[in-house]
Amino acid sequence: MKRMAVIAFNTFKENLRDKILYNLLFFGLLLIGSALLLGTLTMGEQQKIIKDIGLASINVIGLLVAVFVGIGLVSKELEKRTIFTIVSKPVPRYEFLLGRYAGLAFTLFVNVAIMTAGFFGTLLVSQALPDAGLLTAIGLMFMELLLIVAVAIMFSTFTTPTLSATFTLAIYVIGHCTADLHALGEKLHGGLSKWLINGLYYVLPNLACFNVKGAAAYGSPIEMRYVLTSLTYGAVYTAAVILVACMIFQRRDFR
Amino acid sequence: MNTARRQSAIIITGMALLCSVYLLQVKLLEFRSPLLPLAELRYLPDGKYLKAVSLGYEQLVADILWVQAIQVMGERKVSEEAGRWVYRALDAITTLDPHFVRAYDAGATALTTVVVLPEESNRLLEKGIRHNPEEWRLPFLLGFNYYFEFQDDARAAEYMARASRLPGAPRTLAQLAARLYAAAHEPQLAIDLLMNVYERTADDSVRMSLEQRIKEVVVERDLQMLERFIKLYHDREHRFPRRLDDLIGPGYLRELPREPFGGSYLYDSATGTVRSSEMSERLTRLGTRRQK
Repeated sequence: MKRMAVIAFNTFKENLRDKILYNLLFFGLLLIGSALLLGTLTMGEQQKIIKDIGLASINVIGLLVAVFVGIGLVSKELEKRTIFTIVSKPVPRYEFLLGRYAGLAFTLFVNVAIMTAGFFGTLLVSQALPDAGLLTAIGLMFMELLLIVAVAIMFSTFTTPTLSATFTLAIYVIGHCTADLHALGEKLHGGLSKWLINGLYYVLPNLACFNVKGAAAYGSPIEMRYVLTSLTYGAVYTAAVILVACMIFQRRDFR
Repeated sequence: MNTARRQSAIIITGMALLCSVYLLQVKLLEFRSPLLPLAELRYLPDGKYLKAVSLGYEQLVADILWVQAIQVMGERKVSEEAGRWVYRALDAITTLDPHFVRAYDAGATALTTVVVLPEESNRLLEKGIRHNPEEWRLPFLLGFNYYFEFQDDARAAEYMARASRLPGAPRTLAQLAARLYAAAHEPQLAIDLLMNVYERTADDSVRMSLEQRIKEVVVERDLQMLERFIKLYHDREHRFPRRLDDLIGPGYLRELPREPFGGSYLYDSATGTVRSSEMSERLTRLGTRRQK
């Protein structure tokens, strides 16, 4: 546990050294810029647009960090040959992987937290009240990011960074279209194709369930039971992906 | 922990996680709105904005929207509000891809069969004709709408004639147009038209509703015929027939028509009226078109 914490903390420090948090500057400029530019519009619309832009940019920036840092976590160690100094120590490989994961998760948490603070600050300046719905939406978004990081790490345990990034982004896109897959499965009348489509629906991550941005921006109520189910789903799915990643990483030969 | 035990632990954990993922997915389905595809269409931006953001993949975006729209169109009955959103989606699809003839064709048919939005159907067809002047099916369907939905024989005939002159149009179309010019509002004319549409429709759900419509018109045709003969009987015998079977014989019917829905024609000898056991309402008598 202690070893994992050390690896996690080092990962976080490494991310800071890589100037990951510079993205926050971009985020801030985007939010403040849109708030200023939209000042000429009516109040109600301005607030809604700021909410939309804020939520969307937290999501997109978080996604980019999750994917492009996630894929480098393992491959960078391999490239720099620092992996040998770690695996030769009495550190089980899964602990290394979990530590790396926890480190990036923490980096993302700090990142999202600062973005949320900036977002709420902008809302206050533009005289809109930040409400719990927005926080719920950001919480679900964070769960989605945790899942995406797990997927990115899983791919990076066995393939090159470029391919990992491509696969992870593909999973992200597919994960948002699984509702169509389910609708398609329901229209099919039995047989192998229905079985296959339904199987895919349950195996692929259902990322759309983490998306309540629309409801949050409009201030519509979000059912607590739904949020809890989605969070549990995300946690269980993430655990499953990390398990697969650990299994692959355990068997991998380093050259 | 030895390797075998560790492996079985991993496998058991993996299985447990997969089962939980499945169960949670099933649970999440409960939260989904039953009208999900429709709910998605509701937030659909205008076609011209979609065109700007589709970054050169207009056809692909149109295809994806089309697949979603036919999920709604495939339902047996769609509310008028839902129908308007379907029209909105069809309009966006055809703005993205103006040569998507199938979207005009099946879309316009659905707008008059699964819902009753003839104006929207016509608007879609007119847009289709503007972009695809060589497609005979579009003016054909527009003529059909003018005949069946608007009772405007002159315009119906005009579009039918226009369709019959385009490449690929069936030869019978010109005859249909000619008969329309004569403006004979016979039920048989409606059946011919419907059969014509039915034969060139590939979409199963549209075919099903057309089949229903054809049967309704057949009932109307049969009822009009029976009424004619009941009147004839009354004129000759100065009383109504006791049973419908009395209408079989020389100078009358060779046999009684069969109710197409599998029911029967019910006859009231006191008033001399006849109706179908399967249809509570009559189609409009003249021309058997949709009542306004």
